[in-house]
Amino acid sequence: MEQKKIRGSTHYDDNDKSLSLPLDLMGEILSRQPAKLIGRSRSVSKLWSSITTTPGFINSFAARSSASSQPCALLIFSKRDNLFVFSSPQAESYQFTIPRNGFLQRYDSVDGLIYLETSTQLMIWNPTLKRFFTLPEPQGIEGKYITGSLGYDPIGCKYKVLCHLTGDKIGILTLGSQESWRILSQGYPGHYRRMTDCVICINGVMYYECCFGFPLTRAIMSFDLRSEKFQLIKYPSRDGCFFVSYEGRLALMVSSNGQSGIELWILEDA
Amino acid sequence: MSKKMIVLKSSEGVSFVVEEAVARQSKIISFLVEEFPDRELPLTNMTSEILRKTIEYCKKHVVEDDGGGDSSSSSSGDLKEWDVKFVAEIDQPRLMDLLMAANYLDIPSLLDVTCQKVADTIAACNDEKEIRATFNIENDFTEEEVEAIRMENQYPI
Repeated sequence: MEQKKIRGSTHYDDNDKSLSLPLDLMGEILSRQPAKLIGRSRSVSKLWSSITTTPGFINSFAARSSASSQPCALLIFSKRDNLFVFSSPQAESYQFTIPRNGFLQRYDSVDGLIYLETSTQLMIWNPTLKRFFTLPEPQGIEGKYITGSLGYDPIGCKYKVLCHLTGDKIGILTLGSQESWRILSQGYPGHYRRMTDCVICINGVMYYECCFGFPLTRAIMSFDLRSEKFQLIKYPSRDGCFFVSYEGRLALMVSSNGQSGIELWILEDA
Repeated sequence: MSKKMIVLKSSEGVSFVVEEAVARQSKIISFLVEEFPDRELPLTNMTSEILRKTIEYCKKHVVEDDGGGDSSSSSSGDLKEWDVKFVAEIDQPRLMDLLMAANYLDIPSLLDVTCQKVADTIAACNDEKEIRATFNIENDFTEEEVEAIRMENQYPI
């Protein structure tokens, strides 16, 4: 039924036999490596570097890693201008000195990336690839931002940082596109966002607490990461509320007035 | 009952007569068999050696639905072990050809094991120099670029 094994008649020349596979197969193979070796793959050749830095690769890699690995708990704390980051159960640890005597003012986890905001610089940490990126300074001037946050658009597969700047301006930076900050000064209702205000990103929409009008009124601003449209949502403000995602909608967790219970306010027309 | 056979022809023009159920693990052959029954299928981009290996794999993985009883020859645990041994015995250049064959013929499970084997080989290398040597890849970075990448990767303590 089978022919005899034909050996020697084939044309293998080992010098000629480099890893020349179609790009999709190369990506498939490289995405199967352990996360800690991805950085090393980037230094093999320009081709490997470009394969492993495409958004598609990063997505498929993140999906594969998160499917095969356990959820990971991150512990972040700062002492003076030192920032310590631990992850469990992988027991990775990192330590930084925040430049120019800065301090940690906000951090958040969005779709596998960690946003770290210090008073002097904005950073993104990718725990899967174990890489840190320091974002460029908005406007090129130190200390000109108030606060920011990271969001993920699952349709465009893009991460964007929204940053509130002094002078009622807003900066937008798309990660991985090698662009610089785009600065907006109009096209949204005037509002102010504090460093400690709640923020959450749900299905490509970022929601954050803010103040607007006179006298100042508390409200929620929604920012659609794809269309980059802002929308003001009025809500019955209460102290000490907390943003959560409830069945894919924004929900506010607030303590009931004078009672020991908790109320959940769910945004109906999201 | 005699089993239906089909004929696959390698790039050297060597014919392989294979049970249809075996060959149908390739989705593209499955399609061709339905569209062009009783035709010899030329696989001009596949050497006899690689085609023989591919058929060996498909034979092991065939699940016959008409035999009853001992239909699948192996349990899934045995099959996994067999797969590992199967790819371990193939040298690097031929593994690449087998991977390309699995891709071309659209045999997902064979593509999976061959991709994994290549990924494991890369992971087993000590550094990027060994990866380049193993896969005969030219280092096309300049000194400055190498240094820049090293700086980027040095953060983890």
